[in-house]
Amino acid sequence: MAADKNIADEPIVDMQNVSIRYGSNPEVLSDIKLSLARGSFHFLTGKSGAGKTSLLSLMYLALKPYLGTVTVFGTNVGFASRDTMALMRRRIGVVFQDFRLLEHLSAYDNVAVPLRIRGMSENEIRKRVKELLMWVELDKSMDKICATLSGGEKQRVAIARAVINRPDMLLADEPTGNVDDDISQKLMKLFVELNRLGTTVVIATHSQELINNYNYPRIHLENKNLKIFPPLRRVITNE
Amino acid sequence: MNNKVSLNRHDELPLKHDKANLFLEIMMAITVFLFAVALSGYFLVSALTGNWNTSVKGSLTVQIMPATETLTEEEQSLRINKVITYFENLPGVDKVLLVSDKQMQQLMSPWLGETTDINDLPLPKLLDVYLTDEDFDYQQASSGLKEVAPYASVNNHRLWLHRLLQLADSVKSLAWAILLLVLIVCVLSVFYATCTSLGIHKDIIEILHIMGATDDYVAKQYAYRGLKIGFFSGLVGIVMAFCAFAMLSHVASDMEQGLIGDLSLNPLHKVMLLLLPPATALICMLTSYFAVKRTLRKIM
Repeated sequence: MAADKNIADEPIVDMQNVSIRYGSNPEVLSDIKLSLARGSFHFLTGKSGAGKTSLLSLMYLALKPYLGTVTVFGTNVGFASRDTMALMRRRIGVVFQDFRLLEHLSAYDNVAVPLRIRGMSENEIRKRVKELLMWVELDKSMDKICATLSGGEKQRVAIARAVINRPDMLLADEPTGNVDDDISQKLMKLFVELNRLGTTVVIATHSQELINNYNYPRIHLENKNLKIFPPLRRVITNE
Repeated sequence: MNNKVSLNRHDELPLKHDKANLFLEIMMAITVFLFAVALSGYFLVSALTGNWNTSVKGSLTVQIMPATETLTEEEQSLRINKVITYFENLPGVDKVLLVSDKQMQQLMSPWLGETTDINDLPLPKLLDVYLTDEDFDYQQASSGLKEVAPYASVNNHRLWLHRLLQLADSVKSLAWAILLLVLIVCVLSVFYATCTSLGIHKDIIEILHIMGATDDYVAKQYAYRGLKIGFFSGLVGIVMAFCAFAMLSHVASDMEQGLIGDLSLNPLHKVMLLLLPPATALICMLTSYFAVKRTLRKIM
């Protein structure tokens, strides 16, 4: 019981004195300290080039820090084997700003990829993928090759692919940037619902409206460093 | 609900459409063809040298000077019998046979034609001496024969056959070297084609990694491609090789066989050659798999 409590209390992401640089270029982020509690929801803000994508890359284990330690799901990524990293990544859903879909595959196959990687049966995959694609209103386009989809459709495929595994952590880079308001609201509801079920969510966005509408704290990147701001609505309510 | 969705599994990596595939298929087909030719050469030379070894160890030929005008038929027969008796009494001799006129006619026909009567020619008489003992003392038999019958001499095949066997051994070593080189070319071609393909599909592999794919997951897709290319190209190569053998066999059948003998493969050798396509598939599969594992560890 005590052990369970310890695991539950353990931050899902913990960064200590982390610096990032690409090659011999100047540091993008410097001496970052960040701890994300299990089941938390954060917006990630900052100007273009502030390091939002780099910070997300650290979290989804595509990047290793130049300095400092990054611990994800209780494992220090500096010492994790390639196979351990792969298993950890299966617990993370990622929505990229540029979608990064497999353009030669259909919407259905794109969403099915994470499940196939996990070795799920095709019957189960079919059931889960169809259900989710219907939910994001792509049931009529599920057999279309991704290269032929519109920007908004691609974004919904990317989001469906990120959440199909019911990840422990969802990282999204401008996930509502290419969709209309109705779909945007629906997708945010999906993120909120996932968070309610225990998924840790980090959404990088430039949309002040999105931040204003939801009562979540904000990680702000500026001058290679970060600050965490409390939920805006709470501030407004207090005033 | 849309029921038209394709439920067939599609590979995440579009390897079927790689431009390197055609290069690899052609390379593998040529490789298998060369491998089959070198291997068949090895089999044939081994079979020939086996026959020659048996001849060298199992027999010798004795030549008796032809009858002259001063020598009657009867005297010549006595001389022949004397030599036969001499060899029959030597230890390690199984039997001694006189080469008949008919056999002589056949032996000489390539040079003299079918119509020439060899009885009109001063040809020596030949004896085939079959041996049971591998350590038969040729030197002693030859010197003994000089004393008993100075008009006869032993034709020792050993010297020239030994040289021929040395040549055959060199050919066999060359065949081994070719087999090894072809194998290295095969592995290197698959390795570098795989590395090129990994470079082409780096973005997709990166996405797969981010979604939790292990190196093993990616490597298996390449291994499957290697298996298919290896088997298909192996089949093409072996068909080409069998066509070449058929042509060679046809040409050889028009020639006098003599020392070279039958230039065709036995059933066991044919089965071994037919195993080349699955063997190529296996080599391509394993090379692709390990090339991916090794390269991904380096570049990602």
